Amino acid sequence: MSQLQTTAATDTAVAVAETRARRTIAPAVDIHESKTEVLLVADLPGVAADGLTIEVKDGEVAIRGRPAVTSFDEEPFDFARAFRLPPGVDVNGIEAELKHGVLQLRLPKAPGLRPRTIPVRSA
Amino acid sequence: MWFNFTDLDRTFAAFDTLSRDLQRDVVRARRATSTETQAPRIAAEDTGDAWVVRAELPGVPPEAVELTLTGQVLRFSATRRPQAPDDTVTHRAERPAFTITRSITLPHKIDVEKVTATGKDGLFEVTLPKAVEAKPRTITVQAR
Repeated sequence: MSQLQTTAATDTAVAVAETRARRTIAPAVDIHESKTEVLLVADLPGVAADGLTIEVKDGEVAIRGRPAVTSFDEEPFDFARAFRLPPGVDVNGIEAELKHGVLQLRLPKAPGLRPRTIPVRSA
Repeated sequence: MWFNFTDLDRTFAAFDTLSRDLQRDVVRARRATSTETQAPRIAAEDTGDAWVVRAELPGVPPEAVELTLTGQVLRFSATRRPQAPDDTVTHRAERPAFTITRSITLPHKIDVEKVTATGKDGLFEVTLPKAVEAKPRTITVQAR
């Protein structure tokens, strides 16, 4: 930066940069479905449990993870992605586990949604 | 005599595509911001006193990274294979399987005794302090 710039101008520039929202990057995700649950697996390298928020609202699950360290000389960013919840997910039973930077999110299916064989009565 | 300009145009267009493709490969080395396959990223940085090599290896436990240093060549390899649990239907599979093996030749002599490596949450960092004679030294210019 030119030394002719005043200190005030530099302070303003810094303040503006900090209030601008962090850019977000969508993490790579796998989605598997079994009879009893939907499993969502996301790659969130550098994110620890205290940097992760998972919000379930209005039929959507939103994942936001902030890596503890920004490496590679890049601008700080957050991982962020949201998914529509399939109908019939037991929202109270959702579980999340974070290990080695990978999130496993389990969305159990409400009992009513699990496959049921329907007995056929012969008349 | 009229030149057939369409032929020339096509040639230039082909060169344009080629240079765009080359540029795109360079750009891919930066983080993919979409959900297209993201290869694990590795970068090396010279901090003056040391070389720091960082790698993003989500899902890889620290003990699963193989790291060797031979002279000035750092070699590391890691592998991971995401697997669908049994009895599931996979609706989306974006997380890549990878086996990476990289050999990085560092341009400075390294103090082998002081090399440290840490891994947390899928982020790995190897710090390779330069041997004393390899560190930059400022030389004061005496006025005469």
